[in-house]
Amino acid sequence: MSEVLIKVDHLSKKFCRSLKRSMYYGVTDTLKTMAGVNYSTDTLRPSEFWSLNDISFELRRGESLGIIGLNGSGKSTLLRLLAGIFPPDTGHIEIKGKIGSLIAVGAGFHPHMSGKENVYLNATLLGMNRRQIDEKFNQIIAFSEIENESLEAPVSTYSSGMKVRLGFSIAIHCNTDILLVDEVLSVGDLNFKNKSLRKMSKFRDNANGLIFISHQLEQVRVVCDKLMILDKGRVVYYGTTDEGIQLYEELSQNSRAKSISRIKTDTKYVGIDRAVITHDDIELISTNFFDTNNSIIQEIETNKSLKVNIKFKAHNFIEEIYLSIGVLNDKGDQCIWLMSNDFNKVNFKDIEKGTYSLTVDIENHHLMPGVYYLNYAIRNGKTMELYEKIYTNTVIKVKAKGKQLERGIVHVSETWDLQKTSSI
Amino acid sequence: MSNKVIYEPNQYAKIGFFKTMLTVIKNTAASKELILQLYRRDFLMQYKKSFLGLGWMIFGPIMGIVSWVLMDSAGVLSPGDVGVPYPVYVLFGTSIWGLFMSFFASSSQTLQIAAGFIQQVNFHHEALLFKQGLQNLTNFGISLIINVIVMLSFGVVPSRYIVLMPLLIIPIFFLAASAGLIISILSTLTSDVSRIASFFLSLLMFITPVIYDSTDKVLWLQQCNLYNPLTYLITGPRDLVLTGMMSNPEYYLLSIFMATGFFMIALRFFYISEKKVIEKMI
Repeated sequence: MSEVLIKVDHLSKKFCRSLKRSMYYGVTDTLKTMAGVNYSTDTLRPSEFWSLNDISFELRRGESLGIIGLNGSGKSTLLRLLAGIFPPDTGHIEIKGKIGSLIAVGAGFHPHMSGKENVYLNATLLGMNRRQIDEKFNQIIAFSEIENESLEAPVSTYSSGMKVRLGFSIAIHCNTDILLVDEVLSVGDLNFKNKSLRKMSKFRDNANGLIFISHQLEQVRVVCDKLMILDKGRVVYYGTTDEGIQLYEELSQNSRAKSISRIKTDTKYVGIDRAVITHDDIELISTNFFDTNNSIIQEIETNKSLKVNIKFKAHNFIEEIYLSIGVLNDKGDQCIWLMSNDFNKVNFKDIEKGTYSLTVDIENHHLMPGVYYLNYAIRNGKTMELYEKIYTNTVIKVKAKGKQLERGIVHVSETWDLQKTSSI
Repeated sequence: MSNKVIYEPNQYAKIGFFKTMLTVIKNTAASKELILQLYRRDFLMQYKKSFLGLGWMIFGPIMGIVSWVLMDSAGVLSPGDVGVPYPVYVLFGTSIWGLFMSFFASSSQTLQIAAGFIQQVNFHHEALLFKQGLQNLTNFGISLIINVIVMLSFGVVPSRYIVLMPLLIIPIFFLAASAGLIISILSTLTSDVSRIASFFLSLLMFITPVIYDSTDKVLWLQQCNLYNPLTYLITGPRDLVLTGMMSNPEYYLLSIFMATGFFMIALRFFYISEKKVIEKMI
């Protein structure tokens, strides 16, 4: 087994939510430390919370570890602890080798200094000496693809992409044993991102250690062979990358579903996320998703049949009722939009006062894995007067079949066939 | 491959006092290239967006000289007999006082000046203190040259002890930096500290005989001058350069000892506290 480069044991880190208390704790802790008074850092004081809680893992030589998690899960805090920028509150970190951190590219860049001058400054800050910088200078510039004229210009004239290219290029060429990368590839053109990913993979292949944080799951899949998922400061998964990414997508869906499914008590109707238009003649009773066995469901696999049911009460006569059903994703895109009498599908007649149940049967829905919610509208079919348009908080989660990773906008079933057609 | 590095809670406080000093010296030596790069960054770039540029380094002191000479010729100031022409006396004294204040002001911003990147990259933060000191020394060196020119124009030849100025500055740096480092740590936590410190330091000039000779002043002022270590750290070098003699050399040596002691205590305080306060920088 290869050498352990990073060993983290029961690591925890806390912060304070209250500014005043943070000031008070800071002053008292500092004075206690100076006076040689021992104080415990493993318990929470009022307004404190654990940003990281009991984290343990190892990174061996030649390994690359991806760390993913929702915003606020503690990823960047963990990187700062590993880089030695923040001290831990409990636990122990052992690092064997020189660490280079890419927490923010271009750290220390002065806007009035030229690109060339900033290379020397930034590289020195990252631990290189003059001789090492001179040796690597041409490689740094070549990788960054910054032209000579721009190199002599102040960095304040650079675009954000140019700054990222230069900063990343400096950091990746530092003579480090372990590289910590924190979401620095979110800016930059596709060509540079791909080049950077290849460079990081090569860094790993050269028997160094890499820890990579990114929200771009494809980048994590390419670069990392192990994955750790953080959720509210705790490790919820540590294992292979593919399995971890699938679990992460499920966790993300659960989080989005919770935020969509909130019940608003300040609206007239229970079960409604927001009502665009309402009418006293219509009262919504319920909305649900069903499977083919007519059971209410909240989850379904891709490419299965799905039923939408809306129960409502009509308090008055409605002429030639015209209904539309929509299924929206969490970004608000209308993925499915069905009208009752589009192209002469169904022409509902007038409805009297009473309670009604509308069921729409969708065969092979083609929705991609994700979280979706229902909206509907009721019109007068003759005058097209809109009675109601309601975005409900009825949610359905669509899951991928098996372990495959789904991409794109629409789910399809396909087969692949590669054949040689000629020789060269 | 470099040695193993370990991070644990409160680890810096567990290191002994003298080991802390050795660590600071080692870290500073290891950061000499970084100090020079940061010095170059901040010192040269401060005048980049200016037509006068580095000319301000000469223009600034000259304006100071002109204002003191005008006030003296108008009879606004009545300092008494100070042994040399008053403009020369006050110029040299205020230059050294200015050096003290600049050492203090810059060291009290040790962590704050790197706020843009101190949470992004790990480096020896002692480099920031000495980078600031280097900047202040450069400014003082230029104003010293101008001071010597002014002295000569008033017929005052500086004594041979002027070559000792680099050494005589060191205890001034120690005293200023010791207050500044403590302020830098505490002002990261609460802004009250730097405000209170600025207030008291502005009063300190009045109880330090920078622009006056204390021998014929009221008793309470003489007492303040007597017990103020800055009295000796400022007047000692001034008298040595202007007259070739230092009054109260024993108190000067005691002040050096106190300044060195304070500096070591402040370094220890800075070293064990900085990581804990950096995480609170917002």
